[in-house]
Amino acid sequence: MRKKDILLILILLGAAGLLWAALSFAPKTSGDTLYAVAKIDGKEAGRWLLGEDAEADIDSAYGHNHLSVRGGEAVMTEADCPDGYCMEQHAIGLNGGSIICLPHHLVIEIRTEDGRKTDGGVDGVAK
Amino acid sequence: MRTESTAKIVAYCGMLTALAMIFSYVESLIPISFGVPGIKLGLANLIVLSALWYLKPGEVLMISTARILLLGFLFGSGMSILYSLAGGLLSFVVMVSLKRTGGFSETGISTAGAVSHNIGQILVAAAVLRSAKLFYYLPVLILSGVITGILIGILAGRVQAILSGTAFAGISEKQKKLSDGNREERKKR
Amino acid sequence: MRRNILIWLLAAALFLAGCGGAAGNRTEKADSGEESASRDFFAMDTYMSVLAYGENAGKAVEKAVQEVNRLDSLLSAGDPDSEVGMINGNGGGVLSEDGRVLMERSLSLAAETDGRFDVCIYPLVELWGFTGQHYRLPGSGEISAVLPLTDPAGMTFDRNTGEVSFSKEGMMIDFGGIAKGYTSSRIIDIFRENGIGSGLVSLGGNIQALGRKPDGSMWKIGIQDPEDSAAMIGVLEISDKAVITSGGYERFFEENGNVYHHILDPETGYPADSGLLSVTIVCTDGTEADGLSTSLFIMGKEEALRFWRERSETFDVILVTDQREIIVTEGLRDSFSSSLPFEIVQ
Repeated sequence: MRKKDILLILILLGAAGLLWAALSFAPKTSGDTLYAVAKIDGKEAGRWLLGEDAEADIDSAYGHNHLSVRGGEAVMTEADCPDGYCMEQHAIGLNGGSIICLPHHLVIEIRTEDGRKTDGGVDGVAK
Repeated sequence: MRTESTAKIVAYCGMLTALAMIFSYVESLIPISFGVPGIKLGLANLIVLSALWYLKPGEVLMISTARILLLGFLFGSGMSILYSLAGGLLSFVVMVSLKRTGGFSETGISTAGAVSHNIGQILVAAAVLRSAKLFYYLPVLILSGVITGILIGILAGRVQAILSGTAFAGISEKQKKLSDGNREERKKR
Repeated sequence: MRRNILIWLLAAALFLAGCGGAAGNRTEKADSGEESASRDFFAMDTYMSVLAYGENAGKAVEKAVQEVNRLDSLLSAGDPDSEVGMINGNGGGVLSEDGRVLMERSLSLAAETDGRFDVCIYPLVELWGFTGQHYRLPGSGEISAVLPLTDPAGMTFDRNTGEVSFSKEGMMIDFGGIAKGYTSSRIIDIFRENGIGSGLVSLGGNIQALGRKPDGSMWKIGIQDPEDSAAMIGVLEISDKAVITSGGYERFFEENGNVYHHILDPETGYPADSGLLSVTIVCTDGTEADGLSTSLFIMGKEEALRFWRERSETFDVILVTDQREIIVTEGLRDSFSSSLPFEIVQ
């Protein structure tokens, strides 16, 4: 190796470091912005940015639910439905998925700004 | 007057193309994953890089392009050819230019080639997938290019040391003088 | 001595290259800009979503939702005003067109599966509380009292008039075992009638696909992991197929440390204990897929595979056992992929 080689390698490494720093501090404008979207009977009842922590009451004629968004994940923390299944379901986050509260006709889904679903790369899940 | 060495050059080009293809293939058998798609050692670049010292740029370009097209038609898809061509051409241009400026050894040229190969691929991927998100990979790809480039560069240095003084080096040198007599950037070491 | 180094390198590389198989690449195309429509809604006690691509997508989806609601009000055994509810309440009655088709399919499924598919199992389901949310563990005396009511031999059905009558008081019918598969097939028919070439229906996880995706690629359908609701055991790539999974994880309760799930074995009256955690049927006919998924779950691994071998032309299966084996039948060799180990059977 010669001096010029070492200089070139150092410049490349420096560029990689700078880029990494720039990309990790810059706001993620180019990526998809994800929301937890609540729908009652198919109609949107609210949406919360996954990136910001939030506590939300979702009330309808069917009953009361409480959604918590924490650390990029949404989870149902309260519900007065008879079965309470929605509170046992896994938190949903970057990988998509849904929380369903059947008795209250309520669905929480992860959607992008323009409404696309992000279901971990599949079009549907057989269950 | 050139017929004999032309035939030899053609033979070398064919052999080196075959060797480059086989190196690509051997590499695909090495079960090492670097966690990020698209990162690989780039063994085939050892051939392209070494050839830069013995053949004319046009001939090297032919070897590199033939390797990519043949491999692509044999095992790949239209898309994989596009990605490989973008990486291969960009890295070829960068390596030839660096070599012309002089002052860089195999290691420097190889590193620049590897990094530009990765950048070429990601440019095409970003255009095809219409996603700017891919640029988040850029720092990782530069870093991996530097590491694999240095490794291949060191390897190329060893290959050259072995080849110098063999019939291969002698004949290619003679051909080079015959057809391309006025370049004198060689043997600065 | 060194002049042959290139030749040696070449020879060595050729030797190495001979040791492996060829590797392929796959690519994906971006979505096309075709017109699409989708609806998510609640019906048949579950969450449904329908999606269609094509010129009439909006109209087709609208008709699909109407069809679901029509069938729901016709077939719901839990609704005393539905056709099925009225027949059960009155101890007999007349089935309309859809009901007749479903009854015929139920009876042929029963014959095929040696009685595992049972259109008369409703009294038993009610006894266990799986019709609502009031799950309870019945006593063995209660079960043996109800079991005779679940034998379809005690029911008479006239294909031509659609008339149903019961020989024992308390007998009831329920198309729940095939209603969702039938409904998804009906939606696919409606899509076709409206010129839709590409669509996807998910009725509470019962999936049926029409054609391929608009970009020409296959639909990717995840198969739920029966032991982890957030995970999948693998992904199927399908076109023009129904994918229906049945498993004990869908509805169950715990009592005295035992788990009781909703797939009841009509022979014993208890939840099927066959060593299977889930059964996924892949079939062009949604009704068939729905009916077979529960029946094969009750059969267990060995009998289910034997059953499949006799009919391997018509459907394929993915079984997950309680030993966490994943067993995939031959026809899905090229369409199933998973990061977990799985076995392909012939």
